Parts: sequence; C-alpha cells; structure tokens
Amino acid sequence: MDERSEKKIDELIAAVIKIAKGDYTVQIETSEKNDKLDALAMGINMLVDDLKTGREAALENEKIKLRNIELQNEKIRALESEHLKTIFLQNMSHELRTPLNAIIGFAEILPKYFKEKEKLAQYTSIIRQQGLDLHDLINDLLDLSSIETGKMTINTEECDLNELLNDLFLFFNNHKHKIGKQDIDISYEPNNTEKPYHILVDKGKLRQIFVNLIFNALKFTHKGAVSFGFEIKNKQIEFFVADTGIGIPPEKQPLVFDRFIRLDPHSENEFKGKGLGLAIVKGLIELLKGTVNLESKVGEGTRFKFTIPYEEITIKENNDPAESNGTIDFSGYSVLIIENDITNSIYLEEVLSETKINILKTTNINDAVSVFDSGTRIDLILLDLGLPGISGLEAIPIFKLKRPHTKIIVQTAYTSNEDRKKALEAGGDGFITKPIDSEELLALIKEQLYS
Amino acid sequence: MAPQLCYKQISEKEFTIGENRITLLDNSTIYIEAIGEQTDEHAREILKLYQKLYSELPGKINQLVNLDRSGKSSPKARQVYEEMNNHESTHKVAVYGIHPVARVLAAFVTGIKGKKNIEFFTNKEDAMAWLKK
Repeated sequence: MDERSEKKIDELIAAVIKIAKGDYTVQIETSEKNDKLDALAMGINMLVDDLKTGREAALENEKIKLRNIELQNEKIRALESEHLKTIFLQNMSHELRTPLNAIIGFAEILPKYFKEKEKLAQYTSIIRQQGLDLHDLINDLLDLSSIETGKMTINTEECDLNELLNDLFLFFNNHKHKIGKQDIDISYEPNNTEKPYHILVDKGKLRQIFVNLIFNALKFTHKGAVSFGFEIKNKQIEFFVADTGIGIPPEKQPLVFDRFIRLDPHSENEFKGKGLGLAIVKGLIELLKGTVNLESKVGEGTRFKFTIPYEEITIKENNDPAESNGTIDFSGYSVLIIENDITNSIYLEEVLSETKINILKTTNINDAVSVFDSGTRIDLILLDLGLPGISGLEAIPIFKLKRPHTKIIVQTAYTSNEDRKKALEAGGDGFITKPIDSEELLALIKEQLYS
Repeated sequence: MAPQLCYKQISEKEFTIGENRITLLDNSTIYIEAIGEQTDEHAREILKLYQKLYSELPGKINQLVNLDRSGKSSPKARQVYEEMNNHESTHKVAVYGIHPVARVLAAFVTGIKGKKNIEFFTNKEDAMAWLKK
C-alpha cells in the first residue's frame, strides 16, 4: 500500500471513530482522483449527513411530541375547568333554589297558621334559617369573587387571640347541638391563659377562616373530637383545626383548596356544601400573607394548619358604660331611623326597643331634615343609602353640616368595600351591611355613642 | 448573504443551475451533468426547471445523469430527486459515472426504495441504450 493510501485509511478510521462517538460534523476530504478511497470518503460523508439529518428530525419530532403532550394537557385542563364551572353553576342554581323554595313556600302558607303558635314558630324558624343559608351562600360567592379579583382589602385591628378563639369555642359548643353534632367534643387549646395574645390582624377574616375550617371539621366528623388553637413560632403564628373525622384520601388532598371542588359530590346529602369554603379559606390566608396545608389519614382525621405573620401589640384598657348586668342600656339617647323599606324599619325598631333608646323614624331625607330642623335631640342616625329622592350618600354632608356631632351609621344592602369607603368619606361614622346582625348593630351603636 | 441560486436558460435547449448543466437531448430526454456539491438549493432549482420542462414536453420524460464530476448530495436534495423520479411524467432515469465515487454517489440515489425505473451504468453509451430500450 502506498503512503497516500495508508494516510487516507488512517483518516477514514479516525473519522469513523468520531462518528461512532456521536460527532456528526465529521467530513473527509476527497481528492481529484475520484478513486476507491475517495469513493469511501464520499460515502462516509453522505452517511454522516444522513445520520445528522435523522438526529435533527428525531429531536424535532421529540419537541413536537412534547408540545403535543403540553397542548393535550392544556386542553384537558381547559375542559376540566369548563366542566368544573358547569358543575359549579348547576350546584349554585340548586343551592339558591332550595332555600328560596322553602322561603317562598312557607311564606305563602304562613297566613293560614297565624293562630297556631307552634306551627307559626316552626315555619318562621324555617324561613329564617333558609334565609340565613341564602345569606351565607351570597356572602361566600361575593367573598370568593372579591378574593379572585383582588378587591378584598385588609382591615387590620387589634385582636386578642385567646378571646377570639374562646368566642369561637363558645359559639361552636352551642351550635353543635343545632346541627346534630352534640356527641362531638369541641376543645380549644389556649396558648397561655395567663397572657392574652394581642396581635394586629384582620380579625373578621381570621374569624371567617376558623369558622369555615371548624364547620368543615364538624361536617366530616361523626364521632370523636374537633380541636383548634395556635402557637407562636418565631415571627409566625401557627393555627390549627384538627378533627377525628373521615379524613381525606391522599390523591384528593391537593384538590381540597380548589374552588368549586366538593370532595365527594355523590355524597351531597350527607355532606351538604357548596365547595367554596376551603377555596375562600386559602384565599383569605394568602391575603393575610400566610400559608395553609393539611395532614390527613382516611378514617383517622384531618389537621389543617395555617400560619400568618406575628406582630404582638400592647393591650388597651376598655371601659364599657353602656353595659351593666349584661343588658345594653341606651336610655337618654335618641336615634333617627331613615329607612324606606317598612320591614327593615320594623326590624331596626324591634332590635333597638330593648335598649330604651328613644326612636324616631322617617322614610325619606326630606322628612328627616324636617325632624332635624325642629330641634329634636338626635344622637345617632341609622341611614339607608338606597332612598327615593335624595340618596343616603347625598344626605350625609347635609346632616353633618347641620349637626356635626350627630353620629351617622350607614345601614345598607350595598356591601362592597367601595360602598363602605364612599359612605365613610362622605362623613359617615359607621357602616353595617344588610342583613343586619342585631348584636353587631348594637355594638356599633355603643361604639359610636360612647366614642 | 449568498446570492440566491436560480436556474438560467443559456440557449434554446440548455440551462445551468450553479455549475450544473442541463440539456434537452431530444423531446423525451433531459441530460444532467452534475458538477460539484449538490445542495438543497440546487435540488429546489432542479425541481423548478423539471416542472417547467415537464409541462412543455409531450409524453413521458427520461433523465440521463452524469455523476463523474459531482460532489456529494445533501439528504434534502436526495429527497427531491426521489420525488422527481417518482413523478408521473418521469419514464426512466439512467445514472452513470466511470469513477468509484460516482458509483457511491449513485448508490445513494438509485438505491432508494429499490425503484425499477432507475439504473446505474459505468458509461454513457450503456445508459443511453437502456433509456431507449
């Protein structure tokens, strides 16, 4: 073999080794001779090109395959989301119609039983309960909507955690009898009874989180106990709600905080619910800059844990001149109710009558201004916003101009934070939304009269 | 940026694509002398020219391909050749070359799927005789 051939063969061997190692950029030079060695080199060059093209095509195919899988997954997610929305709407329709059916139905037959006190009481109680259920549902929907659109705001205030959780304990210990869960032990584990834990937090939202979690715990617990409490961990407060209920299967645990998810939609009758509670819980906790997680074993129970940042504050003293011997006494004060809806007006009068406050009533702003101008003493106005003629919002500056020290509590069915803000900016001193909770109203009046 | 490769007509029956020369031998045979490396661009232009000639010429067409001065052809170019060979207006394709390199090059084209209308020859005469058979 001549020297050129020997050299060319070495070159071919080196090229084949490189190709074997995956280097598809190898190309062997050919000469003008076009001999067998050149033919071999040319063949190898073209085979390498084929391998390179094949590998590029395979990579491209792999990319397409992955993209197809992604698209498929996106499609599945979109369908699931669409499916969940459909289920949710069906569910909501059902949840809205059920109490409405009872309210309308019993309201229709109620006049027949005006003389049968027992039935009257029973049916009005049903109407009230169904109304409250409807109220809860609307609140849940509005809360979820506010959370998802980022419109829910934080109202930070001072809160004694031990007091808050003790209130919850008293409420649920009483409430469990009403929902047939009297055999469930409810316990609150105070962090330190000697030391109240005053923190800055949105108390209403913290309460709502606990209420949702404890209601859930009770719902899914047939025997045993539901407990809750908190502990301080560095700069965080860790709260928990634990139960000895049915538990959540591992595969369903990641879904529990998804909106519209009811863990077992087939067990609707046993575990009535809208599938919104835990989605709201998660949204509220995130709003408080916290996190939530759960531990659960089927048949043994579930423990929800959530943390929020901890900021301890000093305790304020609070004297309460309006309350003596457990009853509220506003005698000597005078309130003007401005409300065009007769039922709401009667309700407000009924709630206030036990406080011995002097009650005046009008159905519009013009009459209210006349009362004002007559010189009658008015310490407080309960003002509806949706009035005919001059609206409640327009009237606030008028009243404040006439008597700056008269307190104005806006009581309205306009419930958004924006409505609250407008009312307070117009000069309102307090804001309460319908349906009005009597205790909340009295507390607000007390706060205004004695502030 | 390299200028785009286009086929050029240099006489009534002669065309060039890069260094490649394409000649109409008669109304039924196209002669291609492949010179240098056959890239994707060459193949694209050859295809364009074939489509033009196929639309102008009556009946089925033979191809006579001289690979003696050809370089390697890219995988994409070979795909285009295969499409042309399978074209309904293509009758036979005779590929020839004296050198061993031409034989190897031809193998990459003629070996495609064992087609019966394409053959390799070591000289032009045998190739033409087969086309006329």
